[in-house]
Amino acid sequence: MSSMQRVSDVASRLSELSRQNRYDPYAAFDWPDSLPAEMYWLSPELMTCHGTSVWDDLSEAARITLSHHEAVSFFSLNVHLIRELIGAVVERIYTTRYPGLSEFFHDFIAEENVHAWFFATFCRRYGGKVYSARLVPGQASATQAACLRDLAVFGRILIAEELCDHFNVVMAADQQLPAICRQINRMHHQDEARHIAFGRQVVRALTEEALAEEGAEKVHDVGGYLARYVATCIHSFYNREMYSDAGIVKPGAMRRQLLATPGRAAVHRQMMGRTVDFFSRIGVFDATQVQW
Amino acid sequence: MDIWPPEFDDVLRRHCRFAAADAAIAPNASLTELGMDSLQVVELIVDLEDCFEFCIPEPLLTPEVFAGPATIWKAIGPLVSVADS
Repeated sequence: MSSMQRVSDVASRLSELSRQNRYDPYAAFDWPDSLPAEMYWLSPELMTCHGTSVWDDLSEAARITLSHHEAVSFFSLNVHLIRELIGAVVERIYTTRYPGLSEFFHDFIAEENVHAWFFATFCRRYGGKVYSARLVPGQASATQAACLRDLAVFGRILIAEELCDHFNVVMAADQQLPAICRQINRMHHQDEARHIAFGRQVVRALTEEALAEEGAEKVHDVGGYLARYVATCIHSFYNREMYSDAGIVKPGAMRRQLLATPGRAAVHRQMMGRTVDFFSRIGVFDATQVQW
Repeated sequence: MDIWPPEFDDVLRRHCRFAAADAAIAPNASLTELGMDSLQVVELIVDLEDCFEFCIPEPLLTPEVFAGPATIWKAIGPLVSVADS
């Protein structure tokens, strides 16, 4: 069985599961009018300043306030990542490269649309806004072979999904958080488990295709790009505007200070360790290429 | 006369793989010609915001503004002056 046939079979089973587990998002959540100001909204150990001197210098009240903005920023980041991945999948549905995946792509798009809705609803209801993405649209490269371009695209999607899933798993079980925070993270994790299973299969198949058709050097070039994407994704959690909203006077300086704190690199490695191990096993990039 | 301050030049050089250390950055070169891809443009945006302690307004995050060094500085220079004053 070819790699892409295996992907197609897995996708069919995941589609069945998706349709069995479908829910009405507009009825599934009981949105409170407001969230308790004295509670953390993002798990403390996931906050960008946790374990640093900045954390030590903040009062408990200031940490909690920052957690509110970090939660809105995290969910905003999810919204923007979903925008990107829905666009990428829409470009590929009913194309000749993925003839067996269109049914799955329909389910994928439908679920991601729901995710973007509940993340954005949280942001707008409790944070008053969705933080903007810090990127310039319309810069995708069209110069690569299709298999290399698709490896870069589905590799990015997988990295983003696994990074966010790390947060989802921790927060879904964190009793310090309001129920709606736990519920959003739990429901996202349930759906993402299918998307990540698909993502790993398709990235593995695309790697095999790219190695056979374009050679190891070009696959390693994509690997270098994906290793940089890991760092860019992690760095985007250190949102300057979020720090400003939390009352930090020099948010840019604090961002740089936090990213330069040696202990944070170890946290980043732990967040993305399993994902990077996967890319290393299939020969795309390894942990030494990531600027943690 | 320099058309942008040294801080802007420093940030640019951190992301321009093809900019020679001993030569001025060509103001009208494209970011691609200077060695930047879409990820490096993201890092450039964030670095500029950190360096100058300001937020680049979303309407300025366009391919036209982020065409090259001169167009970026033309768009953000006035905002940086405001932020510094």
